[in-house]
Amino acid sequence: DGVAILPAPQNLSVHSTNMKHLLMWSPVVVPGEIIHYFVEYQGEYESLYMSHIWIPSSWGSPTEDPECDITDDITATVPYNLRVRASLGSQTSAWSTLQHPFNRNSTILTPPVMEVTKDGFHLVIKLEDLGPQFEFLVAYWRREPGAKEHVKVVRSRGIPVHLETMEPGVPYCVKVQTLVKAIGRHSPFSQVECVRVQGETLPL
Amino acid sequence: VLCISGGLPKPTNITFLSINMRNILQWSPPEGLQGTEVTYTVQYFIYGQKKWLNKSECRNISRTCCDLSVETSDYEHQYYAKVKAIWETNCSKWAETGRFNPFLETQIGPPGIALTTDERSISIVLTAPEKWKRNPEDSSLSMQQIYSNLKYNVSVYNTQSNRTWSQCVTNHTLVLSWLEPDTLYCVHVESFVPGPPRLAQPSEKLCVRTLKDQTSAVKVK
Amino acid sequence: GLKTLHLGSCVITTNLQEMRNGFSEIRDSVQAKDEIIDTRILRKTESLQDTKPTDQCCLLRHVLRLYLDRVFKNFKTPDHRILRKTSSLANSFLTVKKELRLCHAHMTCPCGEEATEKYSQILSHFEELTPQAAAVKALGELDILLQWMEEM
Repeated sequence: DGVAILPAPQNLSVHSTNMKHLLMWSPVVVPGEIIHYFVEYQGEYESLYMSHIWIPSSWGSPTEDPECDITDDITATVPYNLRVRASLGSQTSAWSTLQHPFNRNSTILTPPVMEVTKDGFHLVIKLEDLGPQFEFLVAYWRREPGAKEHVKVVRSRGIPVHLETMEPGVPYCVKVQTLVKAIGRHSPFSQVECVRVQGETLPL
Repeated sequence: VLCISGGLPKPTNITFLSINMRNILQWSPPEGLQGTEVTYTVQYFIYGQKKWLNKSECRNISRTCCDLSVETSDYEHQYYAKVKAIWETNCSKWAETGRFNPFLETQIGPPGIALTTDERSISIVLTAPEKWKRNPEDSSLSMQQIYSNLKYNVSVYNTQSNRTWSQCVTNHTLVLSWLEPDTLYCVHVESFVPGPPRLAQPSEKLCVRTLKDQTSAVKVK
Repeated sequence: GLKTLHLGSCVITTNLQEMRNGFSEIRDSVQAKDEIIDTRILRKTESLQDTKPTDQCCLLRHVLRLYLDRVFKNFKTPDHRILRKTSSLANSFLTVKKELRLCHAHMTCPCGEEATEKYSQILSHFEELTPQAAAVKALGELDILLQWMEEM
């Protein structure tokens, strides 16, 4: 009855960037055959209160690739146990479990892609939409001695956001960092980008 | 009304349409009975209480909606409603809504928008959407008084540069300064309340042209 | 973003928005399973916001424990989508409970008479039902509990 003949998948690891979590493992190879994999997870609640319960992953049960996007499964800031097994017809391998539980607060956060533009005198920024958990801390200032740095926390939905009304002739600079309050962390700041509105005279 | 229950198919698509706490129960006629002389009777229920209550103004009605705003006005509670169809001596079984939570489900209507302009600025005055009221002469209650974290997403579209930008504001006045003279700008505002996902009622787009510049021109490159 | 809950002298931050979003995706399905509509577990008379501040932390801690011990555990569903969402909610509740435990450790979560009385009322409503029916009803009332927390 499908006794474990197949080897269990090895080298499980999670690669997580900007709250997108990918579970990967070494493929099980049987020449000429397509192996299916089943991924399951349990959060800290399950491991504490009902340790026999494992939940099939949203996207990895089954999958043919030696990887599974577990982003929709890891939805609380607690350690998660993850396991994978291989299947070929009626044969199934033993479960292989991730050595250390994964917590989303270990995700790598990178600064967002940003586009600093102007519409007439208006300094506008457009940020990539990384999802509902993301906010962005936008710092902007006039590039002149003693200038004060202004900060705005912005939720991006891919729509340009107004930052400041610019005075002609003065360069304005902007840098941004990603904020994920659900895990209490932020990314490093992005590169600085500056724009300036030309213009000689100001209207009275 | 004595009738043979189940002799008719049930009304369909029964839901609450709720905007600014005006809660209208609406439904579609039973399959195959569109256009016939079907009438309807509505009842409602307060979750956790004991019995279904009649809505007298919605007994044997021919329209397919019923205003239950008064009956569902206490938004500390949740509600159910049901409707049955009656035709001659036959009537349907009750068609029932899911649990309706007005506080979480009501759509927040758009604010009122007033725009005034000069050569280089547009001032936007927003009026918070008003909560439904029982009688027109009752005092008005703003939705902001119910949802203290109500915010507005103001989108501004410069028709000349074909650019759009937005700002999230909580207060009711906003001045867009240093605009281009003699340029058509369109403004669109959406109210939103951080919290559970909720359908939004967008405002219509209002456009206004900044005045021609009377003074020396400023060349913007 | 995060919501700061002021429960007397216990102040915690929690991701209410994430829990709300998760619950709103299963709310209709879970509430549809609750056919006993003439009773309610979380009633206004026992609400958090109508409890005096010094007792709010204790009441919330006990209610969360009820959910962790007897609601999420007893809620059975063959639907994997609902299972994942309830797991997400349970694990989020666990993080809230950990924060409340810190308040308890720092003596900022005392249990006064009011909290004890209100919790026993909630428990009695809960225990009027079978364990499975109570779990379904309590899970369906998560929007009430999240609203109580929202107003703290």
